[in-house]
Amino acid sequence: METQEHMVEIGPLCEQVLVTLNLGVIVVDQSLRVLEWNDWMSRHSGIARDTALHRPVLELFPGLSGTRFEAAIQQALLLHQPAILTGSLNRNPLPLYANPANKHDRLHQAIQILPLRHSSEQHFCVIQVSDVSAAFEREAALRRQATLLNDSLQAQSRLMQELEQHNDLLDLQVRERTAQLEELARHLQDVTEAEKSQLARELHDELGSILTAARIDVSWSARKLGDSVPEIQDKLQRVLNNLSEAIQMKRRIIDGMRPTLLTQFGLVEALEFAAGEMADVNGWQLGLDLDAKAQHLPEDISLALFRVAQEALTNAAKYAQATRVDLLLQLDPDEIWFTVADNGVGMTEEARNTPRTHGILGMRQRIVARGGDFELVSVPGKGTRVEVRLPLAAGSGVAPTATPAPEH
Amino acid sequence: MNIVLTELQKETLEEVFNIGMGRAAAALSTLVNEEVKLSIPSVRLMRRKEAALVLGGTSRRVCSITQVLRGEFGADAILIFPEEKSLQLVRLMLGESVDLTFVSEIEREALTEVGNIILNACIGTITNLLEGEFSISLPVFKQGDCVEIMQGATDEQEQVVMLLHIDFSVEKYEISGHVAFVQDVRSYQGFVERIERFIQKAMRS
Ligand SMILES: Nc1ncnc2c1ncn2[C@@H]1O[C@H](COP(=O)(O)OP(=O)(O)O)[C@@H](O)[C@H]1O
Ligand SMILES: [Mg+2]
Repeated sequence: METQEHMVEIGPLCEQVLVTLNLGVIVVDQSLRVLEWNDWMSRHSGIARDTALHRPVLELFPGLSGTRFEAAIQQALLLHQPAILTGSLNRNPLPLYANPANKHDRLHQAIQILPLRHSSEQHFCVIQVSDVSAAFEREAALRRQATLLNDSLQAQSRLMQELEQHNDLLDLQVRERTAQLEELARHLQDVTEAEKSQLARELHDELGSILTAARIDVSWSARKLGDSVPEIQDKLQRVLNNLSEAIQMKRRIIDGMRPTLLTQFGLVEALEFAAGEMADVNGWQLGLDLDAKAQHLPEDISLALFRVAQEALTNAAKYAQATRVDLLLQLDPDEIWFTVADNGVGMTEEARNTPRTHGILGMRQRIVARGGDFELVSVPGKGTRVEVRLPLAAGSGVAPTATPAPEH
Repeated sequence: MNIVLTELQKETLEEVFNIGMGRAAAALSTLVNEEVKLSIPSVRLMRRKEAALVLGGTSRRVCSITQVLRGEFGADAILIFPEEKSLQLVRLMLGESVDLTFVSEIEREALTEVGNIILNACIGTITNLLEGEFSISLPVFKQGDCVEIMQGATDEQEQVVMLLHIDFSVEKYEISGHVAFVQDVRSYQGFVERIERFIQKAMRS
């Protein structure tokens, strides 16, 4: 009879277990009457065990008729199916509180409904309730943190975006202003060139003819006077000399203002002539590779290239101590390549990084203003090379097969 | 061994499962206060390995809820939904606005309850067909790839899987998944006999 002894001991033990459990336990029979209602249930529902026992569970919790709670109990009793009911989906179905007296804080519930088979005729159902309020609070806190984090991440990315947009705007402004300045510089150069050639024309036409007329007259007077008054003759000779000098000077000034070479002979010959003269004076060996098609480039482009050549050659003469200078001019359908290279002393790093000098700056300015590229390559001991690339506007290029442009 | 259902058996199963789904859908609808629709468009039989592949193999992350059925007929009933979809679904049901990057405890519990309702309906259909004494376990939630999930307690390659395709919709939201009944061959043979008997009975009445 050992087993019976055990039964006797286990009965009260089970009761004690039910009292101490930190879980709500309800047992109902097939007619949904309460067979067990443990201490935890009494504590949190405010319904004493004695009140609850033998009453239909839906009388104790009238709000639950027709809900999933009832359906799940029926399923457990009839089909032996277990069910779980979460507080979140079922909105904490049982009226259970931390303190039922004030009904303030309804417990967050996790409910399990389990079939219990005693015999094939007698079916019961255990309803087990746990308080998951603490877990629920933890998760709510987590959610709040996540929301905060999300918000601040969003704010941050918005800020980054604004900053980027602002940067782009500044970039655009800088580019616009630079383009405007380049345009202005080009305009100023064009105006200066135009004024210079206007002045040159006036000097030539007006001053030139006055000076020439004056010299003819003085020359005539001197011849007429003969040796009659030697003192006057001396003076007249001095006037004649001065007039000649003035005429020479006028010619030099005009040449400086509007390179006669360029207007008279075109770019290729003007370059040949100017470089040849400089090579003679400085004792350079001269290498020329100039594309003949460049003879009839648009005036402003010819002038820009000629000015670059003048400055580059002058610099080579002044600083390079070179023995050889090379000019290369190459014409493609849509762009021009131009190089002036010397084999002289080259420039120090310092000299190259001091862009305050006007010669090099002026060359760069002329080229950049016409949408080209300017580069100064210089290695100490290995010489200096000025490299220019200029785009040709469509139609202004001199196509290899095109007939020579009409001269004006 | 031949594991093919006749057309009649297949149609009968689809019909009885859909009746069960109607009840589960009604239960879910009252729970979430939205119209929930559930249907089983197809029932197929295959080996376990094949089923794992059909469900996406190791390349697809899924959420699963399993309940174990024991008795004259034994099977693991596994509900499988794509992980991402099931998350979206449960968030819709819970009305949560914060999209956490992981499945929270509450979401996991809610998913398990939804799975419990659907699986109970399927299991109810089967136990009703088979008429006998069964014990059914509580639902267990798992995340992983399909091969992991289909790996039951027993590692028997010969296991037969009855795979139900399941379509689930809430509001304008659609999600399709599967319910797999993983059974051993012996259970399977008894199962087919029972279906046959059920069909005979239904035709006589
Ligand atoms: N071909 C060259 N070889 C060596 N140094 C040069 C050469 N061209 C320019 N430099 C150096 O670069 C400096 C700047 O030249 P530039 O801008 O033309 O100004 P400037 O001729 O008025 O001095 C020169 O003072 C010189 O030191
Ligand atoms: Mg200079």
